[in-house]
Amino acid sequence: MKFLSWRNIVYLVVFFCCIGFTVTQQLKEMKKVSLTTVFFDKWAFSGRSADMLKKMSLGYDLVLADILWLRTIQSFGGRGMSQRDWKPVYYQFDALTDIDPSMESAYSFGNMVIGDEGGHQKEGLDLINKGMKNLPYRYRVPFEGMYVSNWTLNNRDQARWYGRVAVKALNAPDWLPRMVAYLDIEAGQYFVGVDQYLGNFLQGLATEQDHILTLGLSRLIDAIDKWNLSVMDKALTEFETAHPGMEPKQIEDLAQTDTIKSGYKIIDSRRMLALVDTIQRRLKKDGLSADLIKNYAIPTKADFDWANSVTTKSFVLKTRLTDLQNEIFNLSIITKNDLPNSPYPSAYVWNPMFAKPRSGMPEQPIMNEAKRLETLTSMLQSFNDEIKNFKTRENRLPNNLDEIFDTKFVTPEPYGGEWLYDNKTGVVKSSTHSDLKLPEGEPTGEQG
Amino acid sequence: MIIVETNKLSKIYTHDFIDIEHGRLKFNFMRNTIALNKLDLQVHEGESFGLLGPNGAGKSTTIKILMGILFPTSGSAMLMGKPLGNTQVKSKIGFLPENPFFYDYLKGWEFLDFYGRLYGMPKKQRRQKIEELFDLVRLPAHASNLPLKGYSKGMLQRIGLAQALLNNPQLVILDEPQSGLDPLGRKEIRDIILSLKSQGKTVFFSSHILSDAEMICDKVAILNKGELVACGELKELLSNKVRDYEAVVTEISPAGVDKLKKSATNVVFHESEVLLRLNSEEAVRVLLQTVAAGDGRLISLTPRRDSLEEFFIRKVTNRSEKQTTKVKATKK
Amino acid sequence: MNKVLAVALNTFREAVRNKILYFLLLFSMLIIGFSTFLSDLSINEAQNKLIKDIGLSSIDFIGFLIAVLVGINLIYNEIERRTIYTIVSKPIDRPQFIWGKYIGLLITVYVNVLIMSIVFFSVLYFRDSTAPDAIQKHFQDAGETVTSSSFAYYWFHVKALFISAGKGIATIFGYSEQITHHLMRVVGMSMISLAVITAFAILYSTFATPTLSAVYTFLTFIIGTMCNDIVRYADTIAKNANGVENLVGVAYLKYKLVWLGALLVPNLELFNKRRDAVYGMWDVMENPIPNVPIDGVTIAYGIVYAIGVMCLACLVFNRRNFK
Repeated sequence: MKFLSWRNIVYLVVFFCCIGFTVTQQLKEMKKVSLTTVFFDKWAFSGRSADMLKKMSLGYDLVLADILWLRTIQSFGGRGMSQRDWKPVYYQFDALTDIDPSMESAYSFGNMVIGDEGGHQKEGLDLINKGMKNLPYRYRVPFEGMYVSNWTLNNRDQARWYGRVAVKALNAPDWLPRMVAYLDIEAGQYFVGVDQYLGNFLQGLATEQDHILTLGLSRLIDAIDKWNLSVMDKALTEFETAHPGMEPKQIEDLAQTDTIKSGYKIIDSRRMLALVDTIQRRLKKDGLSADLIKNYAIPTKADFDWANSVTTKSFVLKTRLTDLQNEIFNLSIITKNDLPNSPYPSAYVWNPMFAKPRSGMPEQPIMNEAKRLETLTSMLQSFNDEIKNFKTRENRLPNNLDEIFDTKFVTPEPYGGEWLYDNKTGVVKSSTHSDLKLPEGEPTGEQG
Repeated sequence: MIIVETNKLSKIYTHDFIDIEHGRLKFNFMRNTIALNKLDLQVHEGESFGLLGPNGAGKSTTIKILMGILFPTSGSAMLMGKPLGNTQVKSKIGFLPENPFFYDYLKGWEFLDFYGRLYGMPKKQRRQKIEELFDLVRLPAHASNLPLKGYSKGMLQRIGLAQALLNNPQLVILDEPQSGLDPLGRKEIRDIILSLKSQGKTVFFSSHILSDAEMICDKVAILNKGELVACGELKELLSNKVRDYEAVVTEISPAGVDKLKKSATNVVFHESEVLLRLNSEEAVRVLLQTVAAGDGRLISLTPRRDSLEEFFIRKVTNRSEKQTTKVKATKK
Repeated sequence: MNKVLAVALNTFREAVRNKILYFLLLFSMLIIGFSTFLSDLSINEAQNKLIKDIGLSSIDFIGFLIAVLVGINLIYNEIERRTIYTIVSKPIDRPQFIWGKYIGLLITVYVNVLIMSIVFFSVLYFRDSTAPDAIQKHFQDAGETVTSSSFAYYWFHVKALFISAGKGIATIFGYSEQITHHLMRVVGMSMISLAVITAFAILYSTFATPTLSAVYTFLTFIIGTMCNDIVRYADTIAKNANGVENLVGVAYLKYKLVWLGALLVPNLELFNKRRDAVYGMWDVMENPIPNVPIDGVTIAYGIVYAIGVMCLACLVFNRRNFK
């Protein structure tokens, strides 16, 4: 109770008054501060101060860099980048890389965030250039620069410049020089794809892992297929430009286009397979099993002869199959001036059914023969099924094919022939394949 | 053999040029404090030597210089014939500082064990000695495992003494060993010092409890304000001569008192008793005659000899009258 | 030598009773633990870079704090509390006593650094063995499917905890896996720089009050880490005058003094191998294994410097009068 003497009470009251006053003043000041939003720009992140921060960190600059890195990630994390915030974020990356110049992910991530997402490619590339200067022996940063220049900025020359720097890096991966070389080629992405999957395939062979090599091979073939299709697409575009309103009646019509006739580089899959097989045998290993390549275009004797001749003359055989990836790739490139060979057993054909996009079907008229036959079969199947349904509903057979479909029936026959409908038997046939056996299914009414 | 010898030992402290005294700035020109002024001392083997003097005389300073805690400004000293700081000599010395502070987190035995290691004693010997010492200084057994934080003043003094005796030293130096102790404790210290003396050790100690010093010292040196005012064997300094007599009589007539007053230097009346201080044999004879004549009864008659305290006060007050001038600083 | 060790052991005993030691140790554990959470916030591909950065830095810094906060009191308390009186009277030289204090303090610091390192390494091992891929692989190999609430999952973590702790202790003695490759070397070099700092703490403690000693030691630490910048400052002086030859008068004197300073102060940056541990052979490999090159000359520099400072401390201490 003595504490509550008058003197103490007076002191207490005065104390609270003082606190009250100072706190209210401070509140006003703080409110003023929070109204100014551009504090990021001002403090601690302009040019020289990053240097100062680094000195102040007393040898613990790595930790400071990490903390700044976390802050930077947090500051654009969930919100994404808006036009308003990109500058402070850029400054943060700049300061961060001043404090710790070796943080590779800061450069590449910063470039991605500022450049790709933020749309300020120039500043993104500034970061990239800084990274290249500070990390002269690593490939990753200039590689990102190459990527941005090529795909986003469409600046081939700049991309090539970055690519050359990347290639000189000490830890440049094997596939990098090839990829840089592709920049000179128009169909670069296909080179990349085929090369990549060839690598997988060879690795699977070398390590004798069936799963990998099977998958690699199938993807490799698929990539070659896509490559071929892209060439033929180009030819098709040329044809359509030259003959407006017209469609080719058969695939051979495309062979007359300049795209094809003037010559183009392409991979010959059979040669490639023959080459791989031969090398394997030379390395005293098993060749490619018949089971493995049974779904793909089988190399001919001519291919094997060629492979033999090539492996005796131009190689110095290294000990590993994977080391020969470069050579295999380059040797399999041929210049053709006629239609490409399909890597699958059946040749490329024209399927008018897919020449125009029709109710959900893609516009892909060029395909393998096997696929075309499959298309025909499935169309016939679906027609006959529809007829059956019609009969169940209407208790009679339709008079013509137009009755079955809601819209006028104008689907062309895949082989360019006619759809033959017999309204007495209710069976649809193809004029080009009149005795096609449909796969086992439900019986289609009375056999005609 | 001369165990402790000082030769013109001086210690002069130099004050800061600017100082604050009594709340005011003070400029000191050549302000030196002389703690010791050319002290010459000799202590022989087997003696018990008392360094006496009022507070601030320089006793602790002398001892600290001898032990190497302070460095002299000029002059020199030798312990056991070797100059100060000799480690071999130190292994034969035991030292107990005034108001000692010890590591209070150590337990009793740990404390003595640590010092034992500093003496270079092997483990077995240490353990044995620690037990002996605990008995010697009469510390209770439980104190061995008790941290020094929990010791009383008396116990601290005792264990301090124990560490001084750890290595069975030839020379034991004690700085005010009886400070802060009760009479029983003081008696125990006296006993211990006497027993050390009987073992042939040299004891060099400083004290301002003169009565005790009188009892146990062979030789004394009296310091005052850094100067040696007296030094020598006790029995030489204090003549055996009887100085005066103290008599207590009772039932004496006023006439008798008057007669005795002539030859008495001090007369004190207390109830029915009269205390007289007689400073000659003649006066005593007068007293005895008076009493024998039937005037009064003699209760006690005590001859008093010169006490150390009186000698000390005489010397000190004498000396202080002479010192009126400042002394200049001597070069190092 | 036995006497020096006796004093060292006593000093260690005294230091261990200092509560501040435990707070600092606890604090460092908290920091290392917190860094694991922070690393989850980061999107670094670099594995555990954040934990390594923060862990190694905190071991270094807390070690420094222990050296300073415990060391500044050591000599000063002895003199203030007059416990030194009985010591000086014993057959032990003053230098022996100072060296004993130094070694005792050094042992205290090193014991704490090693404890922190064990925790740090254990955390790294634990994270490595309980990373999602590792868990996946472990359970796949055993042929079990597991959900995050099953007993097997928790048991796996508990086992990993104990194994990590054991590996953490083993790392002190030289064991290492990829994730902790050469990290012990970083801690070792850090320990040498701590030896230098501790020597300074003892030096200052011989003549200054604890607060002042703390300030001086901290300043020494700052100057030590900025040693390279001192040289750069000298270079800017030279550059402003367009070359060393053109320096005259005051500028020349300044230049020479700055260079002298740079030569004399302890170059503590030499012992900062944290960057090497994190970035390793960054130049050559995709995912580098840390490579911390240890130079015998650097180690000798540190040890000799510490001995030199201690000699200075002995000199000062020898001349001191204890009031």
